[in-house]
Amino acid sequence: MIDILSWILAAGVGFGISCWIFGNLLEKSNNMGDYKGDKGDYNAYVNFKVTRQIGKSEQSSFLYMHAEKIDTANDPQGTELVRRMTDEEREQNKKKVPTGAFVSEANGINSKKSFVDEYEKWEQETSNYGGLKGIFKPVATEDEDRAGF
Amino acid sequence: MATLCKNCGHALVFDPGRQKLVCSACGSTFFAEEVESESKAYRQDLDAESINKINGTDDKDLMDCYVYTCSECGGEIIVNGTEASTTCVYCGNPNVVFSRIAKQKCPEFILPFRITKERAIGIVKEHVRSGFFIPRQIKNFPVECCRGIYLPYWVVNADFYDAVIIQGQVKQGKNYVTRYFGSAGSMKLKNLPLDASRALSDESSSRLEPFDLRDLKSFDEDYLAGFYSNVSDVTYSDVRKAALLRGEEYFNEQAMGQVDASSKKVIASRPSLKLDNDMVYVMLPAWFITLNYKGKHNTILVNGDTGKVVCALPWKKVLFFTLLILVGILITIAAFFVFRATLPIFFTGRRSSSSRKGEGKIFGLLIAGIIALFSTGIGKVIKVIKNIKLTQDKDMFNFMKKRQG
Repeated sequence: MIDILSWILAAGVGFGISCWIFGNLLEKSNNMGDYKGDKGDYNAYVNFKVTRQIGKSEQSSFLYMHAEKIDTANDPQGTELVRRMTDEEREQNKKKVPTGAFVSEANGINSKKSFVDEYEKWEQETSNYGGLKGIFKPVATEDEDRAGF
Repeated sequence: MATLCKNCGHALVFDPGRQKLVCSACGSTFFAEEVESESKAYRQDLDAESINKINGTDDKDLMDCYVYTCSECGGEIIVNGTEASTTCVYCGNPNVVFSRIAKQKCPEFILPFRITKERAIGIVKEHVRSGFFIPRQIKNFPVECCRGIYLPYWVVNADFYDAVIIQGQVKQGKNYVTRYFGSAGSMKLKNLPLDASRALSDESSSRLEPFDLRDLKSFDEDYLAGFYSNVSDVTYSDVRKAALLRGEEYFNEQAMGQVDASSKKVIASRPSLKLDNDMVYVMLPAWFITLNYKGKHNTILVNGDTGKVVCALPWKKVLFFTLLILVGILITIAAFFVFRATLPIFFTGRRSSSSRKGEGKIFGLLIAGIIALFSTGIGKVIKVIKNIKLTQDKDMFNFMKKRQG
């Protein structure tokens, strides 16, 4: 009885350790560069509003209460290709919407942010990384392209 | 279509080692910003091209490639719908399709190649040589094909919000019980590069990160000389979805760090994301190196800026399992003697109920440990197999291979 139990446990420990060792060795040997950019690379640090223990029945209400509802009504259609704006469009948006915005064909200018001095602030914020700043809108329709817009 | 040397008229090629355009005929070198070719002036004056003019036909459905003429030899250059630069199959000279990078389609910034082709192959060989389970044929691999491709990316800023439910095991007295935790918060993603090419999977392209975006240069088509490149063909929905997924990864990781429990996992979430409109269109460099092993094409990616190698290569299965079994048997024999010497202590003599409970605990921990060892080891092997499939992905191979030159 003792011998059988010893063999079973020993086999478990023996092959378990062996499996762990060679699994790690294989990963080190054959798997290269298996990681993405770290959260620090993109300043992706979470500002937690709440973290607490909840009951099993509270789950849906917690999600409902704390989930952020974002109005995406003015966002571009999902099927529209993304492209850069023309200089004229950029200039137009620079004047009307200091932070830059998506130009919707239907609604004109998204005026969510409308502080007059925010453009300069935005330029300063985005001046790192070689002065990255840009703006985008979906690609013009085929007809517009043909017309040379 | 090519930028020509002002001394001898031969096509110039960008040399990552020197960070200059080099003429292979007369040896002249130029900085990309210095070169003022006729093509550049042409591109700057160019109005948006009509689709008819580019295609030469009205029937868009019949065309999935475009034919251009090489400015050096007059040969036909065939590019697909998103390629922006290529190499002439007849004379080998670089060619840039200017209409693809004109006006709105033109990237704002470019991160020029810093790693040369030879260096990229050298780095891969260095990594491969040190792999214990990599087959010899791969260690001495002849490079089937090596291409430098500028990949299109959108660098985005976004506000990310999420509320998650985390399930975990918490110690209560002497037992572990399942508990639920709610966590909510927000973060601002800054300068997150998202792959703007539909042909390349996000899983492959995201592993090329990080890129040092501080070295970005204002876009100049001369940087494309000698390399292949693609333009953006993603929709707003693609960009949003990719940003949301990355945001969730970072959020979940930090949310789980907030909870004091074991065996944690996120069981429900309600993420949302607001993309800023100041997205930046950039081109980032990558080397695609393919090798053929047992009839399968393996595509190894090398970050053209940092030299990071991304791949998982086939393994010597016989050697792996032989060693695993041999080492397993040796440890089993050693463990058997340890258990045979210690187990009788637990099964002989009269013991109190508290000592029996203690023994039960030891057995429980032992079995949990064995399960953990197996699951960790098998998990690593599965991960490697999954990544090998990604390296042998046909779409990625076609993305690289189906270019002329």
